[in-house]
Amino acid sequence: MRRITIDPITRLEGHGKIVIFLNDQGEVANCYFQVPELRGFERFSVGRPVEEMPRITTRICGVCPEAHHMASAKACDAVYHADPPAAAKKLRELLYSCFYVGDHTLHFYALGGPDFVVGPDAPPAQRNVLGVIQKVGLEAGKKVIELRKRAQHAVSLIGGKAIHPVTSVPGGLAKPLTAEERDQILDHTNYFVEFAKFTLAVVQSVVLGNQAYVDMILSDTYTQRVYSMGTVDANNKVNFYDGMVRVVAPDGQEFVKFPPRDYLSVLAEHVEPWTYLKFPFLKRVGWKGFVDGKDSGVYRATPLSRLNAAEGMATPLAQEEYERMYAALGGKPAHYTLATHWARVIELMYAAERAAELVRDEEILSPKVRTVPTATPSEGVGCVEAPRGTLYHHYVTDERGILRRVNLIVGTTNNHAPIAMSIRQAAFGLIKRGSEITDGLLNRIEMAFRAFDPCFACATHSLPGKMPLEVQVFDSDGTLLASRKRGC
Amino acid sequence: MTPTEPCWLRESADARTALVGFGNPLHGDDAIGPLVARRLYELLPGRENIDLLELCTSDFGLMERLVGYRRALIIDALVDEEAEVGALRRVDVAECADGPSVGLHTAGFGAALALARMLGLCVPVDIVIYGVVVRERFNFGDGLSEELEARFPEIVAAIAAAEGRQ
Repeated sequence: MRRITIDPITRLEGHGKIVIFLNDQGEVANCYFQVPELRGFERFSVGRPVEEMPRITTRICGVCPEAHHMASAKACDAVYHADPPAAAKKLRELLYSCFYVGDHTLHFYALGGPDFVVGPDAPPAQRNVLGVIQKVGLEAGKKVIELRKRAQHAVSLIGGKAIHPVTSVPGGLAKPLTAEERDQILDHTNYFVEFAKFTLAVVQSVVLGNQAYVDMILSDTYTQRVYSMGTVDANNKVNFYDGMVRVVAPDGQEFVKFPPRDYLSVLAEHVEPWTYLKFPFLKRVGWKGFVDGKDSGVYRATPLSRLNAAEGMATPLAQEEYERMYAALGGKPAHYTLATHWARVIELMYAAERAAELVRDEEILSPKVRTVPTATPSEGVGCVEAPRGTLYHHYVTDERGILRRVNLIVGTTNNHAPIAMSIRQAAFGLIKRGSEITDGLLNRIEMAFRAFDPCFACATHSLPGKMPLEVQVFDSDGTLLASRKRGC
Repeated sequence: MTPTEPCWLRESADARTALVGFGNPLHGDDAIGPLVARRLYELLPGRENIDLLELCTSDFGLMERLVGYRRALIIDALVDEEAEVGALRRVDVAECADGPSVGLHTAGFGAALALARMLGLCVPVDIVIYGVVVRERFNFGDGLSEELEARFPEIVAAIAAAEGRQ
């Protein structure tokens, strides 16, 4: 038997390992995706005052600290039984929408985009953000930088800091927004919407205008029919900050819709001997192994699954693109893993439009941004849609508000099983008898999980960018045939 | 001065040096970057022209934070199984393009920096990276491992001596 390992999976936040075993005929016999278990944040948190969590949990991840800040703040609201005033909820959602704009932009241009804009078989040295900008033009690069700058500025105005916001407290926010700050954010949101239009045009022309890419997106190699999870508002439209969690079956029928506090009654976790990281699944369907279909409890929580789980987008331009995407993909739900990149850009548009809506709401200037907690703290669940999947924070405290139990399910953890399945499927589909193990081939296997925008910094509770991932191919004798390993 | 905002959010940062402690202060030995940078900030001459930045972000985010600075001095954890814990290595920024496992990895810092220069952004011409060797066993918690803690004074002294001569 031969074995293949990819090291590291580039443009991935965090660390992991793909190992591919080949049989005597040179075909894939098995494939494993491993990430190291570095859990400990829950244990580290126990014994601390719960109100510290919105500031501490931003340190879980350097890529999406805003998501942890929001989920944590909502959990604290629940722990203290303090419902924030409407202005505070709107300001939090505005901050979060601005964060989303910046985060999804970075993924499209720097992480996922290189595979499509530069090409999956391009030399590795060109398959990066530099290559993308060389292809779509310097002006695009300047727009990306400007967009990121404006998004971070908006986050800093509401959140107090540009990367690790600090202003959400139990019951609301620590400070209101001034009219001057609102005006600055308003200008930024106009830019966001124009930028989202520009990026959607790039997707149309550069990605969807290339038939080879479209064929790849629609190929069986990158197709996975599993359940889809996402948060929806009262009209079953996508919402990142608040709402009910909705899960639809592979055929699109609603399977369950639940308030986040009930997540433990819906989800369970499977354990495999070859990895410490657990595999969440839908409890009522059950764990049937790494298989797709209606009888398997595996689900996805990604931009594409959020769109699958909803009945539309709550803003007009995002809704237009939503309809265009599903018409192009042959209907809803869509199970094409690589279409997740398209869905992510639609979400970018939604976030931009939602921010533009919220910033025009006069209520955000209200000085009443906090409901001061008066009840005895106890237990609470906070949930938001992180860019990489549904994020749950669950805290239990004593009557003084000291944490006694903490449970986190982060975005990428939701997707652990489908990522493993997706890689396995790509390996089986792409490595044939006698295949030469080229860099391009290994990159196409990486693409199977890069679409998830996985952040194992969160999933393994480690710092992003510190520990890359490797891919190795071994033959039936255990001899290393090929590997990928890039630093920095 | 210890700004919490990127320099491009302020009026002017011309001719200033960014002293970057890169790493997670709540993640065991990964905190070595911020801890060393804090101490260096107290020791280095010309502090009035230095901004201390403690960053726990992506490599792209790091690049964004360096816009507007003339010089950057970055301290980060470095994984190198062949070196002893606490060993100090001055890393050429060119290694961050596609070199071996330096702390600032993920597709990154090299490409992000090249992009900034391609776009004419004012990123530092002079970037110095010090990697402090740690073992890859980060767990959440504050405080360094005993073996790294024991080397802390000499790490700070070595960088301060090298940089004090700049």
